[in-house]
Amino acid sequence: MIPLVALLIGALLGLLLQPTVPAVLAPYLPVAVVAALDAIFGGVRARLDGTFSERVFLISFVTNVILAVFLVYLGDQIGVGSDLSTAVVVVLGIRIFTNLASIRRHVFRV
Amino acid sequence: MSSGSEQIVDELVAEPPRAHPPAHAERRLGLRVATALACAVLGFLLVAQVRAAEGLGDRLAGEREEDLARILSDLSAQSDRLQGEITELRLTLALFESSAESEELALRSLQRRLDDLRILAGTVPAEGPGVQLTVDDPDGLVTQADLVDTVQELRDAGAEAIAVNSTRLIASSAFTTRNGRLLVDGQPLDSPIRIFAVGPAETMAKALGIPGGAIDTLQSSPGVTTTVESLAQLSVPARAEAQPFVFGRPVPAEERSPQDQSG
Repeated sequence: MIPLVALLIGALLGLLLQPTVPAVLAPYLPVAVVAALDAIFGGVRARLDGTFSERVFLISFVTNVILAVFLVYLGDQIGVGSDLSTAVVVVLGIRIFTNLASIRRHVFRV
Repeated sequence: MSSGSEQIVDELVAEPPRAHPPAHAERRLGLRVATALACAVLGFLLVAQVRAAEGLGDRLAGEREEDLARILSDLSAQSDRLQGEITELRLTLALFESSAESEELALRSLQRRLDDLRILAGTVPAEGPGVQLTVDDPDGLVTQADLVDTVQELRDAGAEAIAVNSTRLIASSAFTTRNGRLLVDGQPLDSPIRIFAVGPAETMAKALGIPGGAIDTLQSSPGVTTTVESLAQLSVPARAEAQPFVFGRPVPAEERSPQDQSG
């Protein structure tokens, strides 16, 4: 409950402050957001499985974001461009879907 | 990528949530706060990214260099194509304009020619500088030959349109006599005979007055008096209707010999 409220507060802050994304970070922010989403859904799933741990969640959150951004940065450096960022988004998307399937099984019992 | 379920299970086996020691209570609170903070950061980033994705400029800012280069080359190719189209259309426009101009020129010269021919044919009234020759002939002694000579003299001096009394002289005009009365194109000519000629007034007046010329001939008949007036502006009437050609037909253009095509 507290994380959900925190999420809403963060969104509200974003709406109020209207941050502009620096051009340097612009290519990395979408991937970072997807990675963070993956961590959040993983956390929700662990919560429903009864195996949630803040420590694991925090480490997962931070490493997810950093790794995703790093991969995209690496892709830019070695010249594969947006391809690696697509790969990252696809993999994270699959993980999000898997987690959502688990959550669905918990919520609807099917 | 440490949110795999096996790993979580491992963590929990090491640290079951129900049986945490009191020494860990403070640390757990810190973790809770950090989790909430992470969620808040995600919300913030989510909104920031959604806002950044709006609008073309922001969208371009989010593109990588290669993508930007591709977009740029696409746009320049499109720009080149459109530029070429503009050039082509400008060319067409210039072509149309020049052809319209030359058409207008041709039309104007045709109109001039038509005006000339109308004056020549006498289908329109004509006006301009000229002379008025009045022949007072109370005894009716002026002959048709005298009048023909006079008209010839005027034409030789450059008369462009001539009328006798109110009859416009055209190519087929003729002076005739019937029962001793002079006629021009069938119209009786009563004294005084007035001849109006549009053309170079001075030249015509001189031509009429040369010794042994038209006026001398006219005045050689007893009782005949003439007056010549140069006028800056006079007008001659039109023929009531154009005379239709019954026998003459223009020779088709392809049958004409080169020297016939002049004029």
